[in-house]
Amino acid sequence: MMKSARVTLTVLAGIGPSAHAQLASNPCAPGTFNPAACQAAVKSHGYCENGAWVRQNYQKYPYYYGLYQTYAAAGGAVTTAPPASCAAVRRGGFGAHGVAIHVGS
Amino acid sequence: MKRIACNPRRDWQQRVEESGLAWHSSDVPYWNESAFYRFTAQEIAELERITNELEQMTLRAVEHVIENRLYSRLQIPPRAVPLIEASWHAEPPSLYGRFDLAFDGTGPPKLLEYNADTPTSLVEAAVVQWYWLQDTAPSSDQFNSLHERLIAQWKHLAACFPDGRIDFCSLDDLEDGITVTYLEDTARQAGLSTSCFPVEDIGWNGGAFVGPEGRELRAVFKLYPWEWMVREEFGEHLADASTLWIEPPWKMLLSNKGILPVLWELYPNAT
Repeated sequence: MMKSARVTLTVLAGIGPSAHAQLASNPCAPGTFNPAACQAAVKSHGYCENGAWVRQNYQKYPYYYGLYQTYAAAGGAVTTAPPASCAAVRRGGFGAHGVAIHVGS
Repeated sequence: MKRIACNPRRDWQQRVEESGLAWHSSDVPYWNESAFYRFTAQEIAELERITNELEQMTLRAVEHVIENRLYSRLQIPPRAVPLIEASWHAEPPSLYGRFDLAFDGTGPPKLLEYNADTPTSLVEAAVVQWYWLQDTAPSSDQFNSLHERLIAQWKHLAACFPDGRIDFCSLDDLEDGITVTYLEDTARQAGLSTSCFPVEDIGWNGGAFVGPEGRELRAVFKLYPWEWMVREEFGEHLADASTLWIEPPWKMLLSNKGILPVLWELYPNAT
């Protein structure tokens, strides 16, 4: 008998589904690549997932397009992430005055 | 008060950077430890007394502006007026402010301005200056208890913050970022839960301001001026949201240079 008698998942059980959910909605991930949404995510430094903002510092857009092309050429399955899945939360409404300066006095 | 020339520490750049002062040098000198000022205990007592008196005078000036609706004199936009008045009457918590005084050691100190909303120079004053003294004259005293007082004030305000939590935001800028990180540190030492993010990451979900993870922001320290906030896109939501902001909106009257002639009118004989 080589297999474990019992495998109890606690932390991993929580991480697995959420990691899958994030992968499913990241528009720059090869398996869920969405060109327009990925460009928007790169520009906004993040994307929306289930109504919540996921902050992410991306590389430039061509990097993800290249990853996607390589992935698809190798036969990878692509399920395009739906665009604008987080329209309910708007961001960037503060901070416009302070570009390239500091505010303290 | 005497200006005393002294030798900078041999490794002063490294020492101040270790304390968080990454912006010690630029095109013009910023941090300069080739001299220091020595005060008598009497002079310090007088500076403290006058600072406390100024605090009371500036509060009276705010009251005067609100009672007489002098907002246009201070170029306060109409959108900000309900915020100012509501926060003045509700007396929400305030953490700190910084008076800039001119003092020549002979005559009385003069008020230059009151940085009441987004004062910086905090890491320099509370941390770097204290370590400089430890390195150079550890047996000497220094009129500097900012660090302990910040922690004490956070503890005093803790009951105002839902769930014992306050979030911090600023522009994505070196000096502002380190300043709010320092303030966040003092809040944590006071037992508060915290997070810190760029002000651009604040979101509006239609009913509340939310943080980067979508969590509702119930109490926020913002190192970002009210005079900008009320004029930006999300300014229209400030009156609808229940977020508790530090500093409170009425402080935009004190950080406004237009408060200086108001003070002069109220206290024409003040030195």
